[in-house]
Amino acid sequence: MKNKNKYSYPSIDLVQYLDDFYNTRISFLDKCKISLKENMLEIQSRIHKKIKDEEIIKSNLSSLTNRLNNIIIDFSSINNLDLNLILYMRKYFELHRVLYSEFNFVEHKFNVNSMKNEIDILYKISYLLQLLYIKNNDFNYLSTSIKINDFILENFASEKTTGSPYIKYLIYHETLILKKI
Amino acid sequence: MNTSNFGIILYPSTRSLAYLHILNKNKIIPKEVIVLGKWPFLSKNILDEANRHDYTNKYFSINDDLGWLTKYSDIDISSIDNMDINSQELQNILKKSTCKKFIFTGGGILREKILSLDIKFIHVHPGDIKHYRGSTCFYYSYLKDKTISCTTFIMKKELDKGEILDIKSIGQNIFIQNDQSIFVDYIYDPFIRSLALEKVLPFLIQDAEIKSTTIDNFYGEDHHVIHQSLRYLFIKRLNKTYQSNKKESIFIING
Repeated sequence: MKNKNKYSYPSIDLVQYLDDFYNTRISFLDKCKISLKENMLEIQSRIHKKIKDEEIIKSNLSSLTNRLNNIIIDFSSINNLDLNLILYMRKYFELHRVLYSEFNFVEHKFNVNSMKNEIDILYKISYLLQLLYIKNNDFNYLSTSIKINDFILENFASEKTTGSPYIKYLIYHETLILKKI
Repeated sequence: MNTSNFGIILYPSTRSLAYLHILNKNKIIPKEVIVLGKWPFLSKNILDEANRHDYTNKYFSINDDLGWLTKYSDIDISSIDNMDINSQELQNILKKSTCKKFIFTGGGILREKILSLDIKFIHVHPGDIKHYRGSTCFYYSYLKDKTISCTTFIMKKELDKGEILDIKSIGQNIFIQNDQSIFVDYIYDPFIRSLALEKVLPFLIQDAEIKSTTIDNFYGEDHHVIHQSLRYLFIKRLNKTYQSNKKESIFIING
């Protein structure tokens, strides 16, 4: 994609940029071979079901992944603690383009010695930001989510993203959101 | 022209040009001008687009030659090659200055050292500071509820916090063409800020203390630089409101 990552005060051809942006998404979804007939609620229900299945297998309840899983599953009753975690992660990504895989819930900060930018963490926070956008009509959430999705599509091997059971739904969900605006 | 008792720090940006234009239009010349970085600074694509769409006549003078300032012997002009708004050179000039008010034209965040000088730095933020923080926040506010505001305030050590002088709502009837790639960030943004600045000029030219409202509890969130796809949606939405039977304009709502 031309002009990728130029988020700050660009002087670019926005029409061309948008063409490139949507082409990247469409070409990714083509590779994933998923039905593009489902609506947003159906996509959400697919993601939630997969996360519930994943939750049963995992045992480390204090992990960041599990916390994000729980927030997604119980999103309708999201509390301030959960929201603060998401806001922290959003800001961290905006400032550093990095998210870590472990979080110290007592000190409320990342363990910077843990893994950087695990795809599992990235897509979950991106999906939560999409849900928060839908809930609040706040484009601040959506903007970071799209940046994370750009990051995922640009930095992970195609086999990893197209083969993921989640990324295809995350990107499809994003295109449905953008179409609706 | 009336000489005033405030100064202006000119960062090489179209915002500086918009502010100079609004001062010129109101026949006000600052007492002191501090020029940062290398001028002229305008790139070819900005100049080309400005010529193509006549931005100088429609909005503000796209002329980055500051030679015209020198014809006013009352203006004390100094230049610093360093573009860092927190540089020691700038601090040294400000310490010697007799101006106690300076218009800030951007180029980063003023740090504690410079903000602790006995000077009021006046900044125009392109959003209602109580709700929106961040340099691209007018995109967010328009996408969310079709509002655009500008807050003029005296800067404090915390980013985009301070004593509020004025908050103005902005309206417009414009249609942005596909070839206006620099328009929103380099013309529209500085222009709306300059309109808001114009409204506080009476405060600036008076010797009296500036009347302000101190706001400590900003409840707005930081709004990070908006993604390109949403910039495009902003333009699409703005264009949808364009009425071709009315004059193209950008204006302050309710004076």
